[in-house]
Amino acid sequence: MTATLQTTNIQNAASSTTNLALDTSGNVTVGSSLTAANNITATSGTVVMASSFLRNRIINGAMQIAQRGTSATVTAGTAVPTASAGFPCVDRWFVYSTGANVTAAQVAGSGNNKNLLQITGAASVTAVGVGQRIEQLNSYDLAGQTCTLSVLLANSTLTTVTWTASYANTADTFGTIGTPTKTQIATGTFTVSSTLTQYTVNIAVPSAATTGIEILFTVGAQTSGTWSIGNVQFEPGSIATPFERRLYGQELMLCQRYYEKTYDITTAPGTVTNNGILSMMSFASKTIRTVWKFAVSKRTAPSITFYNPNNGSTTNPFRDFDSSTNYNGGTDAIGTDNVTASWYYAAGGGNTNGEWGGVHITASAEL
Amino acid sequence: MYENAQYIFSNGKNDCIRVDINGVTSFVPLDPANTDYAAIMALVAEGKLTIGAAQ
Repeated sequence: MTATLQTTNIQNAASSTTNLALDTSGNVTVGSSLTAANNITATSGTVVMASSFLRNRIINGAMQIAQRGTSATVTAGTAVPTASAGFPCVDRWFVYSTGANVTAAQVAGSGNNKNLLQITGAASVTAVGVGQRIEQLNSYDLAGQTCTLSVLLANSTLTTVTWTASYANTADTFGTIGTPTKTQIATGTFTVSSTLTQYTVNIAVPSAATTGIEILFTVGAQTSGTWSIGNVQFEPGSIATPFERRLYGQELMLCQRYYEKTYDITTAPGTVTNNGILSMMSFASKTIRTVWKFAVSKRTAPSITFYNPNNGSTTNPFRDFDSSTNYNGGTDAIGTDNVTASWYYAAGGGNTNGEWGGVHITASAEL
Repeated sequence: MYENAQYIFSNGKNDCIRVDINGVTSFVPLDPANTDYAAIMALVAEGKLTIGAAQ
């Protein structure tokens, strides 16, 4: 026996709002969240999310991209982050410590999570922070909304991780940890253990937060043991949706808006290699200039560092391969889309006609 | 730490700053949105760093 139930609203007896509203056109409006044990299928049309896809405003939240290298010592201090300091390991994530140096490393994850960022503590450490700044252009619309922060955390020795959300006082200008120019939105703590676990929290982003948002995780005296972080997501809405997995190439391009190098992606700057060098041809008595066109336009004009392909040094970084000589150089034109590398003429020797030279370059527009 | 800052002159104007950042020589554009430049200018304002004239 079948029957048709005719009504306009279905409401739980204990609910103050309608769970399902039925209209005369066959539409159904769900009063709050809709949970499905299996797929939700639209036989025609499109499932439209209010927060849209590409909802995670954190870049490299899975810690997969590590252009600067997969492990580095974090020198204690709070004069970070700046474009050239405070980004030791995985892209987009700044790390600082106080009291003593710590180590930051991209490590293997578990299950579906390929990587984590892991901080290894040391004696005399008084605090460690790991954060990311979301530029104004990628967070402007979050102002006035409830957002959700999700993160995988584990700590082998400490049980409290503090999270703090802030916005820049002026567009994309947060200052350093020691000299901040930002306003706190909210802060709180997660009680963590040595087992990697997901934690979530809702954050009410104020309407004034149109200038960029910083997400910062901190711990206290990590004098030993390790602190692991992964799958960081900051999204509009009050629901912690599953971690958004972007393709590696997409994530890399997102990272390269803030940092790029001439080296191969898995080669750390300072490595001795000719792969990817910006090649030049000498001409006697002249400074030789050539342009490195960035793969991705930068957030702003980046800070530039040159590396010698032959010894990895930033001193006399331009290498003349034919004469096996190293030369000084620099730049006199830095843009958001390219930089001019200048191989200086060395009076009194070198730079004879037609010799092959080269240099490696990094460009950082981090905020 | 920023040390040994000096302007680089090109095309009739100061174009960028050559500076040692934690011992690594880098070139910083004169762009307030560049966070190295902002940090350098904050140090200059505090009297903790001087940017040498271009040679």
